[in-house]
Amino acid sequence: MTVPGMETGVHVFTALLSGLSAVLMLGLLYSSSPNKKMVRRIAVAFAVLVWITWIAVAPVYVNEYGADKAVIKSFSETRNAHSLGMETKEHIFYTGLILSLLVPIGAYTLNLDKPGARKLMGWLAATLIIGFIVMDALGAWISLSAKLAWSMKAG
Amino acid sequence: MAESESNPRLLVASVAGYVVAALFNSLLVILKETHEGVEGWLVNTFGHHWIGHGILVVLTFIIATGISYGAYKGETEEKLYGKLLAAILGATIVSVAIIALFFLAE
Repeated sequence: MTVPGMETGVHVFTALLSGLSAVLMLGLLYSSSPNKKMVRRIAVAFAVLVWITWIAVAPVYVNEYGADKAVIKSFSETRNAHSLGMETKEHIFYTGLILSLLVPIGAYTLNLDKPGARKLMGWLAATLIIGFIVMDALGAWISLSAKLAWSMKAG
Repeated sequence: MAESESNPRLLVASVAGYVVAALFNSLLVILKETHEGVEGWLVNTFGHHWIGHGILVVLTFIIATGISYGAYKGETEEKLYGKLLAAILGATIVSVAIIALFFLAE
């Protein structure tokens, strides 16, 4: 039986970096004289980090999460962490995955000197930051529920 | 591209592609959760339903973006920004709401 191990940390860490880069980009967009070159580089880095976050967790989810899932679902106290938490997380992630691609596309194709363009990019960044927070919270719920469920199983 | 210029054609197409992909994502969730055959097909074709789901969403985005590439008709930028923002926020909220409410109701 294989359970998620330290390799899950890659997923969590790159997700954190993506959230931080979105916050950095938001700050740069609303500074008094935005550094457009830096915004564009961070926009690309952000999207790359989101996609690495997906790729890094795929083998964990496909090959290892099953053991956690079985034990999480076996207790009424933790069942919802999978049936609502993980099911929601794993699917809304794809909405965010595609949304992340709009960030570098917008950064490179819009005139960031225009306030309207910066506002659009800002809202895009803010939406993705909110998404990161939601995903992180769901991940924490699932992880803690797995720990609780395994400890209940162990008696 | 000169600093003062913008060419939103790809962004307009990508936003259209995103709207289609986001809605497809949420509808595919409902379809595979309510029809065992759909989930079975995803497993048989891609090895795991979640991987197949992701691949289909990405492909949907690429195809819809390609089809929408001619959609930009040269609107003024101020009008465009508002429309794009509304499309992005609308699709995001609807997609997330459908998925979350579906699993909440299940």
